[in-house]
Amino acid sequence: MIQESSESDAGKRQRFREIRVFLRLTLENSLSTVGLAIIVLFIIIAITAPFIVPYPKQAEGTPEIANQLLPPNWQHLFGTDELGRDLFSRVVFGARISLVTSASVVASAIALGLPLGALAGYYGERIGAIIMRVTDMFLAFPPLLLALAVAATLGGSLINAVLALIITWWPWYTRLAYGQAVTTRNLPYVDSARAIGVGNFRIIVRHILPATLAPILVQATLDLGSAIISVAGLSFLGLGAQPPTPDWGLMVNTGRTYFLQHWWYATFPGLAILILVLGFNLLGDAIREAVDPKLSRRRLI
Amino acid sequence: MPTRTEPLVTVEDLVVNFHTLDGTVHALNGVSFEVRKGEILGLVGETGCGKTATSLAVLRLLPDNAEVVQGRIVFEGTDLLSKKGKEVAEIRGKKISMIFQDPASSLNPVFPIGTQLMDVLKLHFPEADEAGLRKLAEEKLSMAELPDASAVMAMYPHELSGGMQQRVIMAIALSCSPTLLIADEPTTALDVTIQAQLLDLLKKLKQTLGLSVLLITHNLGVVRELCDRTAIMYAGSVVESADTDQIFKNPLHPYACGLLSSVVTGRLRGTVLHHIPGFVPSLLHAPEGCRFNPRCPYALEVCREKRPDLVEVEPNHYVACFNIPKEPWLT
Amino acid sequence: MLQHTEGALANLSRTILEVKNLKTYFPIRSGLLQRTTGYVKAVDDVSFSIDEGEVFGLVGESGSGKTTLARSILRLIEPMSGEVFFDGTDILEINKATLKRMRKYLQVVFQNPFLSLNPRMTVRNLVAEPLKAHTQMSDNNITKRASELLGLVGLSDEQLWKYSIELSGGQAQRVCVARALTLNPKFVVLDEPTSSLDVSVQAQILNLLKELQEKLRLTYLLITHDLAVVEYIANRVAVMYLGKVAEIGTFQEIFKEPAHPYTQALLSAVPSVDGKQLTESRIILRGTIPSPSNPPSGCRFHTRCHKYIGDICRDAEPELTQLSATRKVACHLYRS
Repeated sequence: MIQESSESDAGKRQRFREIRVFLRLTLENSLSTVGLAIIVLFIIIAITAPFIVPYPKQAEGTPEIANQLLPPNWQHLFGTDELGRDLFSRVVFGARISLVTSASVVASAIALGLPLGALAGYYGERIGAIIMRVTDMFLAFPPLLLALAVAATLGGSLINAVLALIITWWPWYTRLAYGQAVTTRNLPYVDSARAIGVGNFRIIVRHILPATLAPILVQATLDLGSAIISVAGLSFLGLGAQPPTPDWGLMVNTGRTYFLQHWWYATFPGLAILILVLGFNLLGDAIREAVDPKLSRRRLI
Repeated sequence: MPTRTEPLVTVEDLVVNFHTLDGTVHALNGVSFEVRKGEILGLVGETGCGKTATSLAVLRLLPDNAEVVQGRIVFEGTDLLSKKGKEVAEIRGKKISMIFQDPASSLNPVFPIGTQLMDVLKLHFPEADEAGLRKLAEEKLSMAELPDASAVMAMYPHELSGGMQQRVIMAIALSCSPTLLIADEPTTALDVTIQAQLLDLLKKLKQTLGLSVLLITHNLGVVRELCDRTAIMYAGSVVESADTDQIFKNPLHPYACGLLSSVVTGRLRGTVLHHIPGFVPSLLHAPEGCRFNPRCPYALEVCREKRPDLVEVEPNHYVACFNIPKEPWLT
Repeated sequence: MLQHTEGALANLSRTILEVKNLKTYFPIRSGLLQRTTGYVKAVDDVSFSIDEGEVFGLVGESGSGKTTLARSILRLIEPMSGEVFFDGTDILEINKATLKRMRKYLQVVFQNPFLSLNPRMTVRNLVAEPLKAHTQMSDNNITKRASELLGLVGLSDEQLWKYSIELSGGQAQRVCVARALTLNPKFVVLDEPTSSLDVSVQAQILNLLKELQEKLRLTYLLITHDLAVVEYIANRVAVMYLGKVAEIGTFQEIFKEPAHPYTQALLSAVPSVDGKQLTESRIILRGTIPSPSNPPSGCRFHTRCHKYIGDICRDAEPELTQLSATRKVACHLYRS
């Protein structure tokens, strides 16, 4: 009789195999373990922020003028800013902002760029040409400049910064998806599906898109790090988060003016950016190894 | 047909494991055979039997995750497996050469043929001068029956057809006059008529250069036509070896019988083809004892416990089996 | 006795596929503006017909156009001109919707099973794909049908939930065959179905294909370079060289008395397990196969032909002339 379960044990092993390979590779390599640990740590911190932070109100912006610009001490681990707010609490809250904004940027850019690239790659000819030429146009601009221009036009705010980055970044995913789609389109199993009479839409969804996921995933992980820096950068330039938002970039910018006498103000948010982005980069390398068929084949003969 | 000439290279009881993410693959399980001077030995088997791994082991070209557990490969009196890196590099190309299946990926697409051929010559004849090497290179190309050798010297690999590329590869492999050529599926990727030309060339080279060849293939027709002796491998060891005619007319090992009787020929038209029931075992969890025992209709208790050694059952006919059938299957 | 039955069947059957003057060219584009500077004439004016219930073998080496021909017949590539009548309808003229319906009857099994199956889909989904595309069957019914099909090709229900990389070569090819049979086709194109398989697995698959042909009354177009397989299973054979048909005939005619010099050379080039070549002399052709983008003038085979008769071979393309009721050859040696 036909099995009731929809997947055999072997099948489950296969599905989780990619995750197992990823975990094994990550944990074997100490650098990527560190990367994974950093990210997990930051995520946990971000989720539990309101509960673990000593001065949640100050993190959101309530000033405490009496304590302005205190150096790091036991009551204020990272010191305080010019309005007396506890820097540690603000940096921790900043993690939420950074993670959420970078995830939004990357997810939206993929949601926009991936289907376009897949369509362009699969259909080719005119549709492909049109999509790719538009993509090329966007890619011709230096990314930061474009983001700046869009953010400046829209006005300075965190949401506008995110929008600006999405508009700047989607073409990179289109390009990636396009390349994969072109390769996959020519594979025998796509031919086989066409010969069976499977419609184009179904082919794109079931055959082309899954094949594009691997390189996109690698790029996305690395991009999360870049997104954090870009949002921070836009905030630093005044085009992103506005006070009193505890955005890291904004804090670095404000802290800059106090730097010489009050080193802690710009340093701790800066360090936070550094460490989190490093985490994403290290993890991105591990994902690339897990997902790259050539690399994994070497190990498996 | 050479009867008992001297062996050129002898592989003795080679055991090799590969360490992979899924576990240890026991790829070679005691491979033993010899290639004699001036003969072409066919190493035959299906996918996964270990023939390529064996050939790579001879030239110490196994990947990093391979572990040679035991065994010897004796060439010119010494064990190749015990040599240091530099000594092995001396042998590669000069005394033992190898050619592979896909000619296009063995040639660097960015350099002309002449450059690639001369690079090899320079490596092994460092004192020779440019002009002398060039002449030598053209001679080698002519030996591989390439028309207009000097024109070919200036061409790039993609300008040549598959057959011509393979000839270039042969010229490069034979440029330093090795005594042994290992050819891993050299004609599998080629068309039938081109394959015929190349097999013809190999025969001629064997004659004129006294070349010994270890030919690895799964194409039994090629083996029948070209090889003086044949060794049949199954799941990591040689199960039978003998003169080619002997093996094809009178195979003794149950696997060999099964294999040969399942070959498609026009003669069998209208009949149901014979096949060996079951599957080739995964070498991650290979069966105990004789690895063929789960599929063997003649399996005894001892076959499940011990691995049979190669025994000379008839003159020059070796079989690894505890229970050689009295009436073989072969129709 | 077996041949007698085959002959009787052949008389009773009708033409199921007729290819007429099919041409499939690939444009060669070069230059900045990508202008078309020439054509690769992959299939150049090919005509033949296949009867219902027969196994029609199509042999040739690289550049012969046999794969392009198969893809043209299936309309996976659009031919330049010509007609392909399947069961009376010209497939090249019909619209997309009708074509999709026709695909139910005209299926294909490709060479490398692992490349033909999406590695991320389970066997059940792979076999179900045609059903999903053409019917509204419920999931349960689909699974039942998939199980039926696997049984038909000799696989057990256990395999339903596996992924293609968990299967052996033989099992994977069986899944491909099951996939092709899902919608009860009448005609199956087999493109090198056993070439990437081991010897004893080849035997199993060939047995299966023959059994299915008899059980389900299928017609096969068998494309391969392996002459032994053709000799074993085909009723009629066409030999192609550089986009053109060199010879068509019954398997006896082709294998016992090949007429076209290329066929003769091809047959003699095959190394046989019986050791035939050791006694007969082999024809070794000169030179290499020319490129289809720049074929020789006149008879395309004249540059390598061991029976070259003179200028006519170089100047004029031979027509496919009828030698007997079942035999056609394109060679100046046989001009009427």
